[in-house]
Amino acid sequence: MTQYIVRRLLMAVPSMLLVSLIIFSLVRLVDGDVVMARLAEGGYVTDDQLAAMRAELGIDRPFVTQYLDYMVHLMRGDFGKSLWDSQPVWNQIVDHMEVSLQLAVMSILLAIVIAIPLGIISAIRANTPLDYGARLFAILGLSLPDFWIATMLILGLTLWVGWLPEFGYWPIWEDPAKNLEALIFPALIVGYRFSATTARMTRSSVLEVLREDYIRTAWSKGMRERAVVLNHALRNALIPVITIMGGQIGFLLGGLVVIETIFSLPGMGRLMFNAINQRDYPVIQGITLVMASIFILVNLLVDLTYAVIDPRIRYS
Amino acid sequence: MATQAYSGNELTQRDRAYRPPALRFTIRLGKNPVAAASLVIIFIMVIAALFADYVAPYDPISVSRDTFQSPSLSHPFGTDDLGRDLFSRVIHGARISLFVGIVSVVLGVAGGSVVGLVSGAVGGILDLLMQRVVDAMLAFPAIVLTMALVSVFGASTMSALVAIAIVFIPGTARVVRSAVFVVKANMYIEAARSMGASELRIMFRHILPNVMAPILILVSAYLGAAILIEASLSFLGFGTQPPNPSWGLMLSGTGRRYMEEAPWMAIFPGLAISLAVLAFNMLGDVLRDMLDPRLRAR
Repeated sequence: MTQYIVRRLLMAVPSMLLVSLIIFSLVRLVDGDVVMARLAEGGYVTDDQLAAMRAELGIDRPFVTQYLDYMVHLMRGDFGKSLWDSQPVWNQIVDHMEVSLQLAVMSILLAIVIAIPLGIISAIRANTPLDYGARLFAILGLSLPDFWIATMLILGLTLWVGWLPEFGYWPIWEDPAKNLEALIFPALIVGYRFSATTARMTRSSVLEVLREDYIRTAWSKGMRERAVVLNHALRNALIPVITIMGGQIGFLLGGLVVIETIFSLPGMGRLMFNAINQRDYPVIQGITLVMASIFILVNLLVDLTYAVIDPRIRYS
Repeated sequence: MATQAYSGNELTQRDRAYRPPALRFTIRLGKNPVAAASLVIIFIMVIAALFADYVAPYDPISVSRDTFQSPSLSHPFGTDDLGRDLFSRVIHGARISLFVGIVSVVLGVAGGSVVGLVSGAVGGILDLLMQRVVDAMLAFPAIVLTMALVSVFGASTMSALVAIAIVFIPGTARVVRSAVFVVKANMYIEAARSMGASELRIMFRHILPNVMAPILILVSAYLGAAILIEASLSFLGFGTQPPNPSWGLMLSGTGRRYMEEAPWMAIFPGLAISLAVLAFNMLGDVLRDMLDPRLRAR
């Protein structure tokens, strides 16, 4: 097991290197723009000033040197400095990580609580009105834009309830009530999309398992439906569900960008949004890298949970 | 007599069987009520997009004094803060959404299919290298990668299109590659090779037609996703720029600022996005069930 983890972590290294190389090359494509954007405010610019600024930013050196330099700094946890306020990028990301993390965890929990029971009911009552309702709920979750759901929610609350949660962010250990009030709707919206895919996968996976021989055996032993479904079917149906949830982490992180922007939450998504508007490339580079790393690590974790769910799976 | 009548019957049956496969497939698809409904929605939107100049009652960009009109007969979806007819703007918005959606998916899926085809058919070191790049690209959240790309290209409808196309390449490559591995093991590939067919010919004449089913499923699934991503990018201000009528853009800025006084400004563009994406997603579901029952819901 330990060996497997170590090997998987080592396998993630080339992926991570490629990820960093892709982002790095992407950002280098526009370095001219960075210099121009920063100098644009000053009005008239001489060639000497341009050269000086390029030297200061270190972008007059060959590409390979720049990349190696960036990687060496990255290894030390140095993501560079923001072009905007010269703050270390890593500190900014850490400051903004808290909200996003809490929002992500809340969304995933909500999705699990909603989606897995919904998928199971949908499968064991396949092709009944209950199933159609659940499937409609799921496909709407895939189709309605998250920013529109957010807008309609805010609109509905103002028009019919006359109450809106206060926009902003309060750390959970300072004011838990206010924190939850501010985060519950964003979490519901991000969690809805997540539960849509999860419910669909749970349905088809449970349907497939229900056709297995051992399920027929369980029925013929006279077991109750609850026992057949929960003890025999669900456990075997869970692996594809967890796999799809790992794959959906990308969508979850993407959803955070949109939802944090709408609800003015100071998370990584909003940081990214602001960085793009300010053309703050080191910050864009840093966040993209962190998000890709989270994706790779979560999917490693997903692979490792297989053994917990299904003891027949051995890593070799 | 009886025998003659029978043979006549057989002839018409044969006639029916001579329909080209594409047509037969469309008819089968149309018999599914969900697919038929989706096709009707998509058809209406495509017509509206193609003939927007004739269908739309007003100019989508020119401003007028009739600001914040609620929906009425002359303005079915009402007007916005600049007095522009929202019905006309939503119709013209279909043009942008469908154009970006269809073109980006065609480009992305074509690019990804070539990568997957080459990677799967050639194999070896090339496959290994290509798959590591695909892995790395798949690690980026779609929206975040498109945002990063758009920040490089500059915000516009075209950069959104290119960015969305790029995002679809790795996923397609992965699916097509695994389909190629299945097809490659067939005897007819060996037969073609033994008859001296070139690798390129085998790749495009023998393998490609047999991996079309997963490619078609991807196209329908990605169309909905592409429209959603374009709308999200425009909503955030990184896609289509004002005053052009993109659905996502209509929902941002003024659409949200005035939503209490003029809720129709936020409702109709969102309904349009939802309906378009829903139609493509439902069509994709039916296609997947028809073409490959083993491929599971995503």
